[in-house]
Amino acid sequence: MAVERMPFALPSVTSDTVSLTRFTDWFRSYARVPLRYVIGQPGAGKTTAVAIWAQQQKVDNVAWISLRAGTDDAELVALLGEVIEDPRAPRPLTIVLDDIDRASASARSLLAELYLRAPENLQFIYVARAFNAVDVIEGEQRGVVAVAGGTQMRFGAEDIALFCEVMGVPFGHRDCAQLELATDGWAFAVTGAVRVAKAFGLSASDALERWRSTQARSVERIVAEALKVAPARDAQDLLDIVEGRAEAAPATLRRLARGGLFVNTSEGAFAVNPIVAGRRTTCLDAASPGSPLVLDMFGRFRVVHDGVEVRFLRRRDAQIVQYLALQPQGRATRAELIRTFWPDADPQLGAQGLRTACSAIRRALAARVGRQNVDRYLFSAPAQIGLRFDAVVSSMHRFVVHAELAVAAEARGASSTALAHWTAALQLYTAPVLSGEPFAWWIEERAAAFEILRQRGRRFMREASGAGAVS
Amino acid sequence: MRSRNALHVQQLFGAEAELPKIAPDAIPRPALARWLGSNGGHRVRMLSAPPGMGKTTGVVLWLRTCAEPRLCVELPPACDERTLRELCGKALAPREPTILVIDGVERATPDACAAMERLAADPPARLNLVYVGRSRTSLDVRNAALPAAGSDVLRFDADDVRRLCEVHGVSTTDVERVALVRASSGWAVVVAGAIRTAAVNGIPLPEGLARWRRDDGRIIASLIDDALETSDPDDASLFRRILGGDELPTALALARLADAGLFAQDIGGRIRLNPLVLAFPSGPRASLEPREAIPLEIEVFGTFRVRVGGQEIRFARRRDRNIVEFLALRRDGKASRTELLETFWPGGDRALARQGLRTACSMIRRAFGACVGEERVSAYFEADAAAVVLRSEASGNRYHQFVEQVERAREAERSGAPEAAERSWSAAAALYTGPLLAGEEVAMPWVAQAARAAEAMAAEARRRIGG
Repeated sequence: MAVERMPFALPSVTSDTVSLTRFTDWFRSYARVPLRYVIGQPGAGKTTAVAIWAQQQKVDNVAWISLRAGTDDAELVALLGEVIEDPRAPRPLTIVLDDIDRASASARSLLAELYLRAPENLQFIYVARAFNAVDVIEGEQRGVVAVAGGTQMRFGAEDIALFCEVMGVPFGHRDCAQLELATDGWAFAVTGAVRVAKAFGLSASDALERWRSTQARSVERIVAEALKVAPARDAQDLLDIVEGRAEAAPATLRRLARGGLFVNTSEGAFAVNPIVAGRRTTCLDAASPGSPLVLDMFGRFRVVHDGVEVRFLRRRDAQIVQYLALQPQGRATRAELIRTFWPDADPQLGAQGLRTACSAIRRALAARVGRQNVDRYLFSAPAQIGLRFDAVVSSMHRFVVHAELAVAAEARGASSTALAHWTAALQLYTAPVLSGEPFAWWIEERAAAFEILRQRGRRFMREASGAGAVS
Repeated sequence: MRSRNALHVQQLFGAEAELPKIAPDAIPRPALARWLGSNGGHRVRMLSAPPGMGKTTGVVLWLRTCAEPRLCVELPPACDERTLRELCGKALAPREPTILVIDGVERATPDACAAMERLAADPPARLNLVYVGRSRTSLDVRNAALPAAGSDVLRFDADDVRRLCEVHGVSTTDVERVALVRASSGWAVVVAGAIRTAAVNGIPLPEGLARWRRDDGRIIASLIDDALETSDPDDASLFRRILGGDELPTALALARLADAGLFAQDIGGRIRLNPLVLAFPSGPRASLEPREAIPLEIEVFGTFRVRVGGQEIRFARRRDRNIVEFLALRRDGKASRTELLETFWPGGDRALARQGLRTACSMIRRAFGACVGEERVSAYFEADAAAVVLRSEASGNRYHQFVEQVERAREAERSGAPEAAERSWSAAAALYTGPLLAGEEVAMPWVAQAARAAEAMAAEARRRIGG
């Protein structure tokens, strides 16, 4: 058989891996879509990200097939047939097809139709290096395909913080933002640098230079392998750009990005992966908007930017930020906020009160981050107000991510992974959520749920230490 | 002949599913269901609308509610008669009342088209047939007198947007919903894309639309490419010329594109090109990139209207519209900031007035952007530190055409050419279809003054031609 197949067997991931927050949100949002198409350049951590998701699912509801170079349509059908026709295969079933770039043209042509014709109780996840590995545009037009590209596959500042926590590497949020900027969130570089930080006791951002100097060969190898299977013109264009022989024209960069050749896209603009390009990114300066806004949610509420606390003039303004931070997506409708904070007021007065509070919150943030950067952290639309979790890092959110990964690891018996994540989660939980703030029913409601999670973590830790060891 | 892939799919999954897959978040389309229901007595019906309008989704949602046996077949590219018969199978001679939907009729080869036309002319007993396609001209079924529906039963309205937003937990206001409908012409693929993007990123709906256009604009490109590939070459060429600015989107041209299902729709009795297609940014097909901006059409007599390619630009606030009107009456379309401040914010605090003008310019830009695309706004409207400019060609501005005819007529009279003068007076009188900027507050001195001057010129024209 020309393929390596592991039906029902997921790739193993190391105990210190973390799920990428943007990827997880995307994956959950499109849970019912017939095909989720995950694309990322080599070293982006695609397989790991999907494997982490798969491990959190019910056992046996995911079948994993890794394709090998040259897999043709007949072999693919044989493989899929084995999985689909297996009487033990549960329904619904999600089939992950990894490395689909490596399959032959006939197999990729079949993949372009397969998800459209499959029964409703079969879903697919395709994992590829290049966007153009399979033509899924028909599915996109119809809303039956969701595509995760560069943004979702990148380590953001919060993901780097999560990874540092599980690795036990001390970090500052500014370090994380710096590392994100310098690597453009490339998993291969981020995880490498944090591991170096752990080994040599360096800060995450300082460790990057050490990692670069020791791992230059690894980067060269990963690029060389990608170029080997890329169209000759694309390979030559990337080399010409990286070696300064050619200008990085937008059309060329777009083509390289679609081919998975180390070109990132951000807000519609393309740029070569800074590590591959050998580019040293300038440091964040003090007033840089690149630093995340950090919310301390356990104990006394604090909002910190670059190590300096944001001061809210009125308690009401801080409470509104707290309320938003407690919402799963960091946002709430104006009506909901008025009901919560001006329950007995005339609706018009409530609306005016909310406008005043928003304005005061913006002013407080502007004093720290600059007026022009406020919208990076907060949006205030006619219907709703919200924090932008792209640029806002919340200790509570990190606690939840660690706890979810720990619970999933417990469920599949991966004790060392569970231990790593429970340890990180419990270190964040220094006191009950917003316990340093005046009583509010909406705090109590949410705080209780976090307390239950904390108790579960403590129980696990007690049992683990009682057992004396973890597997 | 079935393709190799079709055989593989059959091997893996057995018989084809009765209904095609649709988005899991799809919401019922009441107008389509009503139309299908009210025409249930007809044995053959036809639904045609441009790509991405949600034809397949709407029909599948309706079929799910039907009790009788049903089959929806999607024709593959270049589907011949044999494949058509294979796909439709027993549904073509049903033993009990059966609904058969044939989707994508424009993909059929001539022999398959002929077979479908024969079927429409004489459908088998107990068969209820619905043809679905991009263009109402894909099949020659004029003799079948079949009921036909178009985009009007598929277009998303503000209420549909609200329902889909609710499915995704996206909070919106009426204004945001209406703005999305207006910006997209209710195009399902865009509406759904914007809402999903807003939901997954936790951002407001207007940002969802902007981000979807930025990140997923390829979907629009592919819809255009696919449609052009299966279009009549003359229709495709007309579409390219209009998008390229080589041909004006006249009513006749737009009607032809609407018939061909090429992104033109009848909205409120006027055929318009979809604004997002019109504003299509540089994409994979260089041939689709407009080389020049399509000229503005400015109507000043009666109700003020600004259109680009048949699409009306809507200004959110009266103040924004007034500023555009003010500029439209200028020969060069230009006014200094000071002049605008004195006209629109007289006697107010200067700093507040300047802020007001900045806001107005931003709102005007947004209004143009919604119609022509943000990247092309500067071709129509620009504001720098000193002045604000509306770029319109005299040929598209009714006021300038009118003034030009009056001036020509006077010049002809002066030079002793009474016939030429009469022609120009007639043209001027015909252009004056109502009071200048009717409906605007005459309390604004510049409106009253300009309206009086125009009325005087029109009266003179009428006098000269003896009207």
